[in-house]
Amino acid sequence: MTYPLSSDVSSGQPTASAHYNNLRKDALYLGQSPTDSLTLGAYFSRHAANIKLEYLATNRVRVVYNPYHPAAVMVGGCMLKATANIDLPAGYFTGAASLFYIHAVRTAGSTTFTLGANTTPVESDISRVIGTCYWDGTSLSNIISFYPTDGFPQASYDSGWFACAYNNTYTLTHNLSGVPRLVILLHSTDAAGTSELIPVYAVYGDSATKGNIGFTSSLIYVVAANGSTQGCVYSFRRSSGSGYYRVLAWL
Amino acid sequence: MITLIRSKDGTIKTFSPRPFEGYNLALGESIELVDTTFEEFAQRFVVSCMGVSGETLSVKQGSPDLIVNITAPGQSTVDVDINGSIETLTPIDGGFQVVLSTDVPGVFVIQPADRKKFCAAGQGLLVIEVNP
Repeated sequence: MTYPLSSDVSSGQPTASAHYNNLRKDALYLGQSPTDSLTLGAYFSRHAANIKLEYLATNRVRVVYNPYHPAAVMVGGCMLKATANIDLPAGYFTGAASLFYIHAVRTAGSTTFTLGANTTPVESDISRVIGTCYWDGTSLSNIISFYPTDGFPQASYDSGWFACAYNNTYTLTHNLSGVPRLVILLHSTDAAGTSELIPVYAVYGDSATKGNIGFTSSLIYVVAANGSTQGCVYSFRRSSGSGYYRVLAWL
Repeated sequence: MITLIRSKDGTIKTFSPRPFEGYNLALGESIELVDTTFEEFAQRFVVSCMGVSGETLSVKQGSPDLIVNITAPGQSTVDVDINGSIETLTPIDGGFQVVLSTDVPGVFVIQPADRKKFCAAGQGLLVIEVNP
């Protein structure tokens, strides 16, 4: 079908109903038949993009503003876009441990949005779920955006740095709702993680060099082998039987 | 607030700034919450040699003697475990030092003797290998 259907109207020319209807069809259906195409509004009703959710102290979350990739979301048919960082107000996370859903919330008279959080994913004409996070009763973790910025996304799980020593097994609970697709183990020589970071692919113990990570839908296992010199990391960049580990996982 | 994981024998296995719910305990392990920062706890007992800590230091046999530095803020003495032998150190220039010979090839594992008080992980444990 020809697109656009509508054509220019000359000054003084009467506008026929066909002009209006073609223009309307162009606007709503990109010139297609209503039986073959959703309206643009229906098509973009679930649109959301570039929503980078980040932890914000203390126990809050932020949608980070990037002028080149501003967060955008359609809520209740309204097209909304961030013009600055959008912060969840304090006090949303209370009570027992639970998964919380982060909502983009629209307000009449505004073309941007605010944030809310709730233990239910139920949406409304003014709210739309854009991510989740886990509240353990005291702290927030595993902040996940459903509509992340282009490029490699933030990890779904981050253990933070923890001290390691050879001849130990560390079992972490990731609280993700499935088996991670990717797990990375990093090694640092200092607690702040400011040294050169080494991805750990192998450790040495029992006269053998082996991989040392395993994971399930709930746990991540990290083995520091019993070799004192290379039990925690065995790499051409560094070997160590101690230091600090950090586990990142993507769902 | 940080989390300590203690092994079955009460020694500190690891410490982390994250809540204990993120850690799955093995049989006999226990959790302890300590009101301090992760960085502060990490500095309670640090072993280093030639500026290296948290990673294995390799030296050639016959190299000059190794001066191992230990920082343990607030301690008047520290007991250090070197390959199972305990040495009590007194302060030198605000820290503690032990000198190791490189005459014989092998591995030195240097860590706190009191592993219920200090963590023998992170920068609290240093391994030095003397290669022929």
